[in-house]
Amino acid sequence: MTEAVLFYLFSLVAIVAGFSVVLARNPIASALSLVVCFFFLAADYVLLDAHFVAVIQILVYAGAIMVLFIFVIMLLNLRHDAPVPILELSRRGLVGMLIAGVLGTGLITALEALPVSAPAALPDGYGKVASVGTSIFSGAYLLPFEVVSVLLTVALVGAVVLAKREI
Amino acid sequence: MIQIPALGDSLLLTSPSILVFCVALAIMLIEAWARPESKSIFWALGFGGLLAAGALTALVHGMAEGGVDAYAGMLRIDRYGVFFQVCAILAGLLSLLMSDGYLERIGVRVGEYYALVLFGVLGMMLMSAANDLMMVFIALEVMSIAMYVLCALKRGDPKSVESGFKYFILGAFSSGVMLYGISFVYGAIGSTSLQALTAWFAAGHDAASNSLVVVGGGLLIVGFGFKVASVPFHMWAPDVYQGAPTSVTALMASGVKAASFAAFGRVVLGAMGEDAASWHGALWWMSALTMIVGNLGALVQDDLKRVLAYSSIAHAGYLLMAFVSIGPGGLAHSPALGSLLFYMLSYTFMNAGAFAVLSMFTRDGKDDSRIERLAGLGHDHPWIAAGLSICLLSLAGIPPTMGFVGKFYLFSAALQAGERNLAIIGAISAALGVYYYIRPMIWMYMRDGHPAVTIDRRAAFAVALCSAVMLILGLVPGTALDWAQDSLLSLAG
Repeated sequence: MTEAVLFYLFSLVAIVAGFSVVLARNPIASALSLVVCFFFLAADYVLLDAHFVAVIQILVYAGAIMVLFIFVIMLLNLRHDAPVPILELSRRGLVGMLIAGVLGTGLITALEALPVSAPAALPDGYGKVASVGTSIFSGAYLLPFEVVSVLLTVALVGAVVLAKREI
Repeated sequence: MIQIPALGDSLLLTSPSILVFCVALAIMLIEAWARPESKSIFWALGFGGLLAAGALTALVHGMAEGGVDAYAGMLRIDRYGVFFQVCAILAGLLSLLMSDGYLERIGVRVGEYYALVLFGVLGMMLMSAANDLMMVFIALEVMSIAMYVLCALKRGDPKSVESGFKYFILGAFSSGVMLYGISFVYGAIGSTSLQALTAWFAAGHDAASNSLVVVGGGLLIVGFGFKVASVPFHMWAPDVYQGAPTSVTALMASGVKAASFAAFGRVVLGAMGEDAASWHGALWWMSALTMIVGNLGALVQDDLKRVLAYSSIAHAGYLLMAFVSIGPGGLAHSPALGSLLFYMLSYTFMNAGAFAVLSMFTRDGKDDSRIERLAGLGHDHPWIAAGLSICLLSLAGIPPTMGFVGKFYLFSAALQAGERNLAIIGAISAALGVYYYIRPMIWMYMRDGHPAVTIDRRAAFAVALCSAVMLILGLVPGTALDWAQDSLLSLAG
């Protein structure tokens, strides 16, 4: 019961913050709303017993990535007086909304048709750092983990190649 | 206590991929220290590395007779995967053959190019063997990110930058769609493993009983549809193919397409094959539209790179035809589908050969691949013209080339499975296609002129190799066909 109340509370705040990201006129306000959204998503992860993911969410997204965002906004030096259109109701926007609506309806129908079963019992230590670490380094996810580091290398090399002054 | 997994076999089975990765790293390290005049070492390293990886793959092929799992089921090293790995390595080798001279002509001679090509090939190799949707996705990204950068490598040329940017935006979008689909499949069956998905379908479930699987499978098909450039997800292909450096386009048209089809096939033919009926309609229309739109689009193009881009769309349609041609009794009873793999192999060669010729057409450091530039090529450089003609005839599917054999078996597989209408649509659009494949030959042989072509020995070797393979395997396709069939059947377990 408490869990359900907390879940709806956290989700509500996250959704409101999400809207505020899109609707805020000031880019800094958008970025800060995003931080709020990330924090409350992390709270939802905790409710799902995913403690490790929750901590990483705050450290990486709400921390590092957001600082980067705000840096970029400041470097771009956006002026406050330039009005940012809130919702552009062009024909393209309408088509996009229509497609999103169709997709959303489809998804909701799909979810409603699902058989609901009781949640499975979680194994001991689920979601803790130790069990995540074990499954990454000695479980099934060793190879994906390593290949992700290859992926990051490729992305870094690519970024440098494209941004270098002279090649 | 944490258990250290025993990796011996897995490491051995993936040794070709590991080798490619190490060579790519070595190239970058050497690049940091190398003197400007010793740049040809990168080409030698990259080419040698890929050759060695090919040899290692052949050894691994012997080890993995019936198919073995590596890294706790993340990869499955079987004949099917090895076949596509060979395709990827071949595409990489052929692309490298035309790279060195071409890069010098367009003024982009950097070591990182070779490293990125190897990274791309690494992604393709992992993708061919990936047996888990998570692994498919990560390998796909390794390959794609390398390709995005390679497309935009010629930064001074707005077309190249446009190509990289378009590919990046649409590629990222389609990756997102695919990931979304994967999450639905995970939600439905509780695992991302393709083995689990196969087992789920084999246990008598079908898509109709679980709406999450419908949405997930559908989004997966859309995601793969983007990667193989099938209609209606083909819009990016012509601009990206035209703007990218020609050697990169060659790699994209042959290697990227092969790897995407490898993963696509593993998902659609292997895992979802038990429930082929549920996906039949979607794939049928995708195949038919891709063949029609690809061939019609190519008719009106004047730039050979764009012609080949549309032709690559059309070829995706022919290959998709195999996906709807699973007969009753599942994959194990449809050995004719081996033609899919055979066609992929021939496609790798004929495309790389054609692009190798185009890579010799540069002017003032820019690509110059308009069709009228070919005028007089048959007179001035008869051998190059002959090579290009063989590749074009093979693309058109005219005997006695490998492309004809591939098309013949693909269409007969479709007929065997009772897909008469689809085969007719395919045959009509292929007949239309002959026009735009013959047109460059008319320019080469029947118009006067002196083409401004730089004869590049390595690229010429690539053309010669490709056309020789086209002819030899067109006349005696038996061994290659058997190999393709065996490889396909290894997917059925």
